[in-house]
Amino acid sequence: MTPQAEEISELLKKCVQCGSCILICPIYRATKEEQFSPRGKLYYLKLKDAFPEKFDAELDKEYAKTIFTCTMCGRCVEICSSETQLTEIFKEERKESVEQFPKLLTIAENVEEEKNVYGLDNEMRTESWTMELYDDFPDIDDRIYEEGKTAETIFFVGCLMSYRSRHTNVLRAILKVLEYLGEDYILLGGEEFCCGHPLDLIGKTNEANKLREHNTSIFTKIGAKTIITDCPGCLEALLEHHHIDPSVRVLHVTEFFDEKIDSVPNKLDITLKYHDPCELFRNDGVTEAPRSLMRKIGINIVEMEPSCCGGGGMLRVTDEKLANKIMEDRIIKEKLKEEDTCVVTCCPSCLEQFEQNEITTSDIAEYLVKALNL
Amino acid sequence: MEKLQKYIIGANASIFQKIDPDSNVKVFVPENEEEIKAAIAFARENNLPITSKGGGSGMSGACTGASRKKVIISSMRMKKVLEINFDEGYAVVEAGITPDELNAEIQQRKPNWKFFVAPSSRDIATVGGILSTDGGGNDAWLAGTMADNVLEVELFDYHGNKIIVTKIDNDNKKAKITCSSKELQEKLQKNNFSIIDIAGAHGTLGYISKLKLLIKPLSEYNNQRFALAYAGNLNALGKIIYELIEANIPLTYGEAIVEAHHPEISRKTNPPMLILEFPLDFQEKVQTICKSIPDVNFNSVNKEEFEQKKEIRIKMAKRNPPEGYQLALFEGYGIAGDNLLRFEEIITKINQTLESCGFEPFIKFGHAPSVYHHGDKKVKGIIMHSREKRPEKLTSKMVFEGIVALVELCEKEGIIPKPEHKWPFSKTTQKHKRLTELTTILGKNFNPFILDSTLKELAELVL
Repeated sequence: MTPQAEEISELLKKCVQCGSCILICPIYRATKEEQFSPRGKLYYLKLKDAFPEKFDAELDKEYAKTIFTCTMCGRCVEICSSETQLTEIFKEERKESVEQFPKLLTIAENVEEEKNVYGLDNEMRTESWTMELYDDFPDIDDRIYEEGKTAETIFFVGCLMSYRSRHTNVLRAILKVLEYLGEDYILLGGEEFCCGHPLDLIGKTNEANKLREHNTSIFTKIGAKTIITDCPGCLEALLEHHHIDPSVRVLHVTEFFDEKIDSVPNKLDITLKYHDPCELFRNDGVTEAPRSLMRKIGINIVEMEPSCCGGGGMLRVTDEKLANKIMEDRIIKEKLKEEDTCVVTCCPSCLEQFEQNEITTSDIAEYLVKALNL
Repeated sequence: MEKLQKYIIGANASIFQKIDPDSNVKVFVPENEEEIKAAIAFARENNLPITSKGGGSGMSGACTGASRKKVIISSMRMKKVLEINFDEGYAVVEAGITPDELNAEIQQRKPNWKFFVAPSSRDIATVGGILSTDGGGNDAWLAGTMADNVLEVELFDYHGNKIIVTKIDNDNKKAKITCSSKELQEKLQKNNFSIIDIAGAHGTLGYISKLKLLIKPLSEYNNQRFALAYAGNLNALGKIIYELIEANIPLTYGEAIVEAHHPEISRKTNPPMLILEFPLDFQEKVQTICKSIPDVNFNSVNKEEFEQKKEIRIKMAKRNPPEGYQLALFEGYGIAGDNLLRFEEIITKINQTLESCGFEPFIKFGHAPSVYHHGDKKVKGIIMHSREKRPEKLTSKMVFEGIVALVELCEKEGIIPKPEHKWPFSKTTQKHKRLTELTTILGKNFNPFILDSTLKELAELVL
């Protein structure tokens, strides 16, 4: 047995198969099929161990599809009284599945070749949105990293915000606040490679690490004291896997702004439903800063069910239809269209997922600029 | 995905998890009556028995159907609330809904109303499954078990006949039977078929599709008070439970932590101890009972501390030891009457038996005081759950010998195995005889292994 297989076997033994993870799982809720539930996925492994002769490649391939049909939201880990680290098991199983069935997913090729999830020219990473911001930031090009440039703070933009036009307004808001605070910040431009988080999620850890080595080398050259990002997935990758010098602080933008801003000149006094991004609050442990910042802005927070929007775990890539079904079910369950609901969040992926399902949604930064009269 | 579905459907919380995946010939997850009938027809046409599955959280393994060829019908898509009637105090629901789901619907309309059966698995256990095991939970002391909270059951037999069993005069043993087959209706009526028969039948009598459940407002008492009663020894714990039963205190929560070989649980709860919630009017009485027993330390606590202890207790069933893993070898011990006054001796004997069979005791806890059905009688006592440390090399022989030794001990000491877990060794019990009698009328096509399997066959299913 390999060390990884041994580790999985030990993790598996913790699970008592009680089923508490089933009805809270967004995938189970959308499919109503037990093989897609966390318990079902673990039972497959237990059963395979008990009856190895009954399992073949065809069955393993079906199982591999279920393993990638997961938002990795971590709610199953949160609820598990047996303390089973289910997402750790799923990550390892994703790795195994990709090795066994290399053609299962194609997104890895995009990241490996072009260093971003969209397979677009990486030099376009900043150009695609800076053009729209010249009116507000005529000197924006000076903020883009070149050899020899240093800064106190690095704003790690992430693939999603770099290439998807919806996020230009969020970027504009974040940059305006950084300027307002007088921060000495820098953007990495074409030298920002994907954080590797999507590769981790599809089981390609080695390839992810290569991208991270590049990013970390640029961070070191810049000599920044703080790295900020708005993307919870990037934050997780930066915190957990980039091996950044411990003296450098890695923060979500809401943590950074909450530290810097005590009050605002224009309290908004509006009521919004806050969607906690799963990766931000479960994996990165950032729960209070977004709420504290929203309270300062004058947002009356209505808490939503701590459930995934359907956009996590690369589900939008592996099964977009199911990702949308998860959101459709939430819309019904939480009556999001029956009430005049506006959602606020702080994750580009969650934001897109809500908007694509016609729920008016904004990033906290978009309200912050209004509260600061910027 | 059909093959994968057939393999995964065996997932369940009991120790019986080594279910031959090829024994599940076909899985149905019906959404309505027509689909239920089609699933039953498939089984009939292929001469296969049927196993019903709810959330798969039961500790008996009844939802597995063992490793015998069968058709599985899951109720997990039967979740509709068909009616809630606050004036008459009932809800009509499909069998696949969980108590948590039902209570969310009820409380959306009236926040102070609830369905009062709440086993710790209430987040996944279905009402159909809870009736099949006659589950209770920590509301059972005041509200009774599932049998006491079901007013009507709709089930289907192997021929697709719909049978409706309606409780009469709030008596579990009296029912009006309505059936699409008049001949079957007469036979069942003549044999006094009732809710108490279906409760704890482990799915042997038919496929439960719909239930009419009792719903009530939350406690009529206001001003709840909270206390922790620490006992210096196990006899003192047994004595508190005994006296609370004798005084018939309307406890709205009573849970015991008997022992915990787990440093964190032990440090936070200091067992043996009881976690109690009761109306203000009974505070003096509870306090007097506890203070009259030597070695008992009674502590009134605030709601926050009570909730913290409650949280630890509810998670205990699923906790693992700091090193190694847990196993529920023999899940429920019913200890009542004078046995509560020699609680220490009973627990010592259970632990000695476990150890002699190679199992290391881990934790014991339970609903106390509580009620459960034993044959025709309602018994008041503690329903104690037990978890053992899983031996590194667990064999079916060890499980077999362990269960046999515990059953012998229970018989000798007058410990009543919780009805939910009685089936593997129940051939001499009144329940077994009654189910055998009823299956001669209804047919032996639903979960027949419950009534005819050997413990050896079951021990082979332990994973």
